[in-house]
Amino acid sequence: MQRHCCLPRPAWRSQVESLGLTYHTHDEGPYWDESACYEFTTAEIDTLERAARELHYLCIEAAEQVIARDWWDRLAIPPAAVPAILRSWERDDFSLYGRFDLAFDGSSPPKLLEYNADTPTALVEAAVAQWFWLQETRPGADQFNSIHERLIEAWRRWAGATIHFSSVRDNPEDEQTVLYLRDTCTQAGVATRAVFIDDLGWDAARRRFVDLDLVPVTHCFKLYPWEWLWAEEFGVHLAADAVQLIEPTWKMLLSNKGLLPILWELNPDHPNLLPTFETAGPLAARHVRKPKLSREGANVAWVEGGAAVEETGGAYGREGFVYQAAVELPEFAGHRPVCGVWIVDHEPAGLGLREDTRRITGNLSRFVPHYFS
Amino acid sequence: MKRSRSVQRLLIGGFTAGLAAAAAGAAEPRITADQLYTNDTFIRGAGHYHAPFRAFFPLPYNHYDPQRQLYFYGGQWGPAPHRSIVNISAPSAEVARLAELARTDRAGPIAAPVARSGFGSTSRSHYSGS
Repeated sequence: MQRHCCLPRPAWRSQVESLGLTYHTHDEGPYWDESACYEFTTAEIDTLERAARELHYLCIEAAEQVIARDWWDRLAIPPAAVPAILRSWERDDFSLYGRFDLAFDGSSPPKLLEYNADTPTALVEAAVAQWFWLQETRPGADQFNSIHERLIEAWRRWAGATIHFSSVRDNPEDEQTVLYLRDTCTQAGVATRAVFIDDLGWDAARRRFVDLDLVPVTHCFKLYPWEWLWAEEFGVHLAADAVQLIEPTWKMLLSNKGLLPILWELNPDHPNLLPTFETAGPLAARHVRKPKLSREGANVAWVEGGAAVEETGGAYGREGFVYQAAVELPEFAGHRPVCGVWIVDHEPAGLGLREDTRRITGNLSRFVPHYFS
Repeated sequence: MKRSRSVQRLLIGGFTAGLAAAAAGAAEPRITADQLYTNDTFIRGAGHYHAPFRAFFPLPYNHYDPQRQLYFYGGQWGPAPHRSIVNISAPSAEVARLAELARTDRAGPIAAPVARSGFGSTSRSHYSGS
């Protein structure tokens, strides 16, 4: 695993914008950063792929234990959601995708930092932008990236249905992520429609969700966290299974960092897991504190000597925290990459790297393309 | 080789880009079972009319996917283009009803008692992706 400095393509901004990556620059600098790239060996990519496959099934097994042992409180799952989760689990409701964030230095086993199993983003850049970057800059090299065709393949089972796609409004990254997923669904030959999450209507007389044209919403991909859906006004209507949402509600078991201590408890000393607990005690004074529910690295604290030496802000943490052994990300000229391995339809499908000079990867971390040879 | 053989985007632009984009201009007449449509007639929201199958679909008749080397027709994919002498037909009554419901090139049915804004409130103080 090596980091290389590169000369960005002169027109990279317009090139990535034309692919849907309109959010390539933050207020503080570039988000899409092709002034660098990472090179892997085939063996390293195989290692990441194997780890992600193994971790996905460990997570499924851990979720089974949560259900079998009624560990709902450990994940701070609201009681109203439990029956729907159980039904969704029993039906094995369709799950499209997720992203494992792994610490990996190329030699030690990849370590799970967290599983973004409900509302993962950084998808357009991983599936599309870096693929075109590779075509233009290193056409002879390979890339761990079959995300696009796997998404299309996953949608094919919905032939004959109409799937709505929903996100919050005025958030370019969310909107473009959902538009891209809708694109892949369309390419699978499935009928699609769009509706913003706050435009979803509840037709009380017919007890069904409808879009702005009053078309019934029977299947809906939503880039909106389940715990928010349950807590909001229309959450009461979810209990009746009036709509099949994608990701399904059973994904609440996997997207919750409360699963990390359970994974460690069930698989102590597993090479792809970090010791994680529900109290800081077993880790003494050096650990990372993470909210059970949070996004983009919000409200995470790196603790040393009992004090936070690095901490991110945010509005999360009400459901409680977990305490994970501190693992240093590999450092390349001051940059620390996190490997995001994508799961599509339960199989590893690709890789996206985000790097930062800080220890905590957050919403200002840069996406850097990769290749392997 | 782990990379996709080809990646293409069909929908580009804002969130409502593509098939469900709001339409401007005059709308087509209502879709009914006694209306004839030629093959590949496109109606926003309803999709492309496949005359041999008397129904609307999201992709054009015999749309070719170079990645899989398959052709799309009648809601299915096949290794060769579909051949038919039917290039004009009328949709079935049920297809016409559903297509009329789905179309987005004119205003929908007049107000029914539908409540909105029941989702989305948490996002105003948080970011939803991860």
